[in-house]
Amino acid sequence: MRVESTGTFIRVTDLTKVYKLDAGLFAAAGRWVWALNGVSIDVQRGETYGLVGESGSGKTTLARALVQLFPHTSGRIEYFSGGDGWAITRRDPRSLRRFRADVKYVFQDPASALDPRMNVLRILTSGARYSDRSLDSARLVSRARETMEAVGLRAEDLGRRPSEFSGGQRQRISLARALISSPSALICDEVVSALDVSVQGQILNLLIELKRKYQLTMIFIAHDLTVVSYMADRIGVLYGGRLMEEAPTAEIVERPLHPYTQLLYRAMPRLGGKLPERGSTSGAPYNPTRPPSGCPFVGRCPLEQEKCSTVMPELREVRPGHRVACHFVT
Amino acid sequence: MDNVARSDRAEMSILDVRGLTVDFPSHDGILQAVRGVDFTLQSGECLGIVGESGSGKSVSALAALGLLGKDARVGGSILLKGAEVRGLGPEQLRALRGTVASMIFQEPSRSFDPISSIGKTFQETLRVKDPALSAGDCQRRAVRLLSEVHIPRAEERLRGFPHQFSGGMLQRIMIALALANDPELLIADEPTTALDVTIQAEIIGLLSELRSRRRLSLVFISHNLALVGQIADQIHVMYAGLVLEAGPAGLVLSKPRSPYTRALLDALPSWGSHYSRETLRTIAGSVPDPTRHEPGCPFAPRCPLAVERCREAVPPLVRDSADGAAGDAAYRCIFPGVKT
Amino acid sequence: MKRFWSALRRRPIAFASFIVLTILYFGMIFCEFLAPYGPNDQFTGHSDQPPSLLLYSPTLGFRPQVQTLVLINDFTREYAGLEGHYTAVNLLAVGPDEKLWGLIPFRHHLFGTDRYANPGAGAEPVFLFGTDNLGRDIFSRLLYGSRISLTIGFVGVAVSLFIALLLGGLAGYLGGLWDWLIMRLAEYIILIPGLYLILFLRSILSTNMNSGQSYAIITVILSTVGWPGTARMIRGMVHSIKRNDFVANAELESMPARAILFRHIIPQMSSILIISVTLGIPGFILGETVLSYLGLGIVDPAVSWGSMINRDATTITNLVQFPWLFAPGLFLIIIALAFNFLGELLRDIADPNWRETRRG
Repeated sequence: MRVESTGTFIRVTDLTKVYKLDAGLFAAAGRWVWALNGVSIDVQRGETYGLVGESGSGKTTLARALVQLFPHTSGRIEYFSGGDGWAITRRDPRSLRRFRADVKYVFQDPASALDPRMNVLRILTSGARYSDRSLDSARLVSRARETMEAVGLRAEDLGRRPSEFSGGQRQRISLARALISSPSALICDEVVSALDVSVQGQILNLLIELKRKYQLTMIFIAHDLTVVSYMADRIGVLYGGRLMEEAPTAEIVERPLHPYTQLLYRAMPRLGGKLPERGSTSGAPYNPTRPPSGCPFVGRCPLEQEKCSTVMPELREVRPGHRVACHFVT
Repeated sequence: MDNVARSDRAEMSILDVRGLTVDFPSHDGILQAVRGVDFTLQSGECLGIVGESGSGKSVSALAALGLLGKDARVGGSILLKGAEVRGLGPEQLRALRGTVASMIFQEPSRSFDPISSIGKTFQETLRVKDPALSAGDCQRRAVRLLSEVHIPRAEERLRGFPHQFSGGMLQRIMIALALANDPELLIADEPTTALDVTIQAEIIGLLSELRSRRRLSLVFISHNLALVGQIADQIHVMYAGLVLEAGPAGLVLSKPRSPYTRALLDALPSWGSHYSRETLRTIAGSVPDPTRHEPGCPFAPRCPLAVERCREAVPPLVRDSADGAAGDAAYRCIFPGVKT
Repeated sequence: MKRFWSALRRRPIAFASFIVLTILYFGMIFCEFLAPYGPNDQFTGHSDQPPSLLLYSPTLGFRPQVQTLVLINDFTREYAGLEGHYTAVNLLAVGPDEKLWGLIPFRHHLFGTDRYANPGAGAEPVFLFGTDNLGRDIFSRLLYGSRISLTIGFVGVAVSLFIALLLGGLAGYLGGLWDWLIMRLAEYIILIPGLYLILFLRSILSTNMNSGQSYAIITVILSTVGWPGTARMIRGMVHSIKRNDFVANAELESMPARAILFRHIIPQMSSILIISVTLGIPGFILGETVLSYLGLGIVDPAVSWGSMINRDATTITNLVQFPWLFAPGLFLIIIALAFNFLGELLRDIADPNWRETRRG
């Protein structure tokens, strides 16, 4: 039972984030890191957009830039709700507040996502009074109870502290906290990566249940292509701060077109799968301090030729709904 | 008959662990990390140990090389190449490590001295076995080792420092260091958990290649069943300090007898499945508190097949040679192979 | 609160410290009543007397009492007891007129002799800790002196901690230029050796001040010298606490920066702050002691433990001859230890991960 997509919810255009590395007193000139380099995606209302990438791909940077935990260097973020659109930037605090009440971020690490000195009730409700959608305190407490039960915990647990819960339960508390303001969307940043294997499935199932129950739009970020392709309707593959491929899940699963996606696919350990052949996955990992001309996958790509180092391939639609950034995929 | 076969095998085996128990006294009571574990590894074989947090998989490996702290209470027998490791003094253990058996760990960046160059670290390691080795010889050997793990421009790399390398490179260097003194056994404790999946594939490939080239025996510890399945000959599945299933890799992965193995296999989505079509079959609850072991099967609180009997006593380990193929198969369940 | 009591019960040393501190502060509050005499009441003919409380004599039997002492050697100031002459020590005896806290007049003190009730009857005064060279009761002076010594710790720490939290917290949370400026200021102050800074600050202020002004000045000086160290520590902690996801989450909940600082960040440091406070208090008390010892703090007629040490306990010969003059030093040691032990307990309680150890 899929939730129907009804138009763009968040549009990201050419988003770039550059960091300057501190050179220190005795080093030569400082270095720049292109964490994100011109990424454009359109998240439709109601869908689950999966973002997959390895370390240095920019997926977490993209997620955090979306909610403006830091200002981006260039590019645009637009948010559409109730027929209107707003540009989202730190310079416009009012729209940002509205956006942040509607799009909630769920963090990866259950150990640091919850204030260890507060009990669960305070964790859920202490921020609510500053949000755009604040409720009076009595209503807040009953809402806290509702969300605890919605995530599979008991209302009696509201008086306890995070240290009394397991990792999986803490992620549930994080979800309850996100849901308390009735958001339209969740950004799930590697929310199961830090959990035991036997617990990960519980949280994934919970996310799906919540999505259906509350009609949530989701941006689901992970490094595991199998998990992302289970959870997402569309998938974006990031590498070196750029979007390499974007397609509906079924297409990515059956027919990955970009050489990096194919590499990811081959590298995944699968039951009954054989070891990847030598040479198929070799090469240096992406160095983010290289200047951003050319394709970041140079040095590891089986298809690469000279022009790949100097000319960045454009992200082009090679099949309906399927975009690929490679000179040699048409 | 079974006893004879076992002792025969014990003679040829590179690692033979019987009845291993490890306890840690703590403020909250005794922490029973390992509660009676057996495994035997033949020369040239790869043993995969799979488990989640609290399973005791890492502690078992550390015990095998005498690497547990002074407060650990170790019981049972650990035979490394026929010699008992328990009770050895620090000098004797030092002689064993690196030359008979070596270990690599999860976080490569934490395993290096940040202020020593790679070359210096190699020198230190090589001189443990042969203190008289000249600097030039150390350099030559180090270059050979680095090319064995497919690190190009080895001379240049030897001058570098750990912070200048990526995680994947450091792990390769770690492997080279572990093999520097030609051990016969390599224990790898979650060597790829901190690495990207594409790098992980390279490291697994490398370990497999080294295994066949050097006739190396390998113990591979991980929480990822599929990953272990790619490289191991036999797999042991551990939970809360006990082995719940053991056997040839192909068998354990395709026809598991323990419901826990079954649960691990079902835990994560299979390739190609989608939430719109299938629901994940998950189990409730989480891994038990290691200071509070209830009687009975540790998995009983979460097991869909559990009955009263499961909670009364730990099910005995039942051995069978299912196919007669390499290695014993074993399981600890009174409902083996029952579909949940 | 419950955790406090149950933890106290399990730790005898901390419990004893708590009792000791309670007694000392209680004594400070009610010192006019508890002290038999005023701090500056001089008893002629009784200078340099050793502690005189006895519990038994053939004349009066088992009861608290004092023997009349007679000076036998003017040079060494040695006293000997006069046979048969004993004075009883009574509870709620009449003593010098006092006003509790300057407000409530009364005449009866906790204990004393008949000296004030029956002047002329030859009753001896009672000196629990002997007298100084002017014949003043050390015990009374200790009690009155504790008003300054014990409170200056709290006030000083409060002021110092407030400054450190404000500046350290801002530096850590805002980062950037503010961080740089505040930290350089702190480091500059730390660079200057504390003792010289104290002397310098004291010297630029007038030497003719009453004790109230002295008290305030001392507090200001010590706080100025004391805040940078704590501020640096707080700044470092704020920097690292900031990195936790729950702080990022608070920002995403549109919480303003000062709310995040006070409701999320600073509570994480509570155990460090408690330790800082409880260790800082004896530090400030000793700071005042040092100042007074150097003659730059409390001066006569005001009395503090530091000024008592300055007057009476500066030479070995003095201490050897009149060992009871070390009493203020002894009390300082006890205070410092008591705050230490209690502070450890408070820090453990504040730690959310701390659970009481179970035997076995």
